[in-house]
Amino acid sequence: MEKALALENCSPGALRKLPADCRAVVIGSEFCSGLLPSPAEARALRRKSRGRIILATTLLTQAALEKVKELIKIINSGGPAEVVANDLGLLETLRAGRKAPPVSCGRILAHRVKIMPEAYARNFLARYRVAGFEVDDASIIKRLAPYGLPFSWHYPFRYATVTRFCPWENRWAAGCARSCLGRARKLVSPRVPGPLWLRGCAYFIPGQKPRRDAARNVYTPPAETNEA
Amino acid sequence: MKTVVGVKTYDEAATMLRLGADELYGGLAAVPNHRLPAQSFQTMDEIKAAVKLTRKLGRRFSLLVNQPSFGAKSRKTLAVARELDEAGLGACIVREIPMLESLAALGLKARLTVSSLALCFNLPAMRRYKQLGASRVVLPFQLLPGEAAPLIKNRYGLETEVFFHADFCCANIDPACRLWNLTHRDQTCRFSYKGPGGRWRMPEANAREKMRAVYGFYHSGARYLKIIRMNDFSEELEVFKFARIVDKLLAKGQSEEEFARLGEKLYFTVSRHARSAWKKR
Repeated sequence: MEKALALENCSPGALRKLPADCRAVVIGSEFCSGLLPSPAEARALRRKSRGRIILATTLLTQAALEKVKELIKIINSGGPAEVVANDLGLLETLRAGRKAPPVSCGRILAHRVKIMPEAYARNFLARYRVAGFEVDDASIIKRLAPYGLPFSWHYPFRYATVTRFCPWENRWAAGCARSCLGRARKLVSPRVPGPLWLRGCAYFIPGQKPRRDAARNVYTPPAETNEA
Repeated sequence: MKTVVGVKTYDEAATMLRLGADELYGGLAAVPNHRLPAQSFQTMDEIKAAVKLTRKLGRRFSLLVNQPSFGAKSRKTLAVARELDEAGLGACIVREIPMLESLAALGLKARLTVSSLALCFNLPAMRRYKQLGASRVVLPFQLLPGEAAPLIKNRYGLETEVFFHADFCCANIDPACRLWNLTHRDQTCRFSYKGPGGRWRMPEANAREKMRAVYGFYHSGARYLKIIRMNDFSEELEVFKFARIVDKLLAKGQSEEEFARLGEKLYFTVSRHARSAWKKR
């Protein structure tokens, strides 16, 4: 079982803190394209790490898709790479590419795949050469089991919802200033079981533990500042 | 812009057509769609009559197939689409790809529209939907005008439709939202939360930002404006009236700033629905 660290921040300072035994890192975000690293940050990481670099991506506007294409080129040269896709357009783009890295079906997209008729889903996954799933919800594992693909388990948070109207900057996410970096906000309602944690543009439920049956456990470290 | 208006009864359809709606859309309670059954036509006979009336007036009625359906329900959906197609159905609004392919395989006269819930955010996704037989895409709620412009100007011959954001926009990306699974309650996004600074709500665009979105979509070339279905038809009439005024303002060629200012004022004076929605916030 592989362990991976989800890097919220790909800056040189953050890279210096990367553990030496870290074999796989996840960069970018499945929930906000504003958290994609810059090409320079991705290049710096590729130079530093011979391990696997996994680029997580969310739903992608045309501009964000162009940026992701550039990032894939960078991480895919000089070491092993993977892409987590949540967007049909990205899957189509990767399908057309000759040297595309292995692609995993992201957490948003997995909820669409799980409701497909089984035979249809098999064709869908084959069409896009999907090599695995990203999962943070135990109930979905059974639903995806018939496809026999490995899954990466995300902990200690499970995503609950996601927005493109930035809750940190109180405006549409276009023109993101990354003011969420290093921050998490706890939200409590008596009508919701347990607290929600806001990180980036998504809200999460805490409490997940690593799983032995996962091909990879992806750990998201706590934020530097927890606003509770 | 042409207005595309949601209806749930024959009378509502007749009223909206009389008031000048360019297109109508609606669901049938027996066919899974993205609203409560009460917001859909209750019987096949009634929706069929609405389809026929719309057709007779040379306008288009679209059937909502924008919720996943399985097994027998899926077969039922296809049977309904086929029957309404014979009555003059204009289009099916579809969310999931397998259903889109199944409907395309039926060889209906009705066209296929990709629902906003399909989350078509970019050109390669759009091209794929075109290959699958779609002729129109409803752009996702949270895609902004500047981001949507390449899609609106696409080379694939696909029409694009946008929601009337001035009246409504989800706080979160609707089809990617799992909050219902957490609480089993609607609109968990609108609950009041306790946060570090006191009371906290999941933020969404304010009235002026919504008006700017409408302005941006218009100037990006969007030509179909969609008005959501509502429980209270009198509220929907208010929103329809609001949309028509907004459309006239846009056609006058006002600056974005002036349009946003006037639109915001209208938002709180013309639309009773907007006022009540704002009070709930």
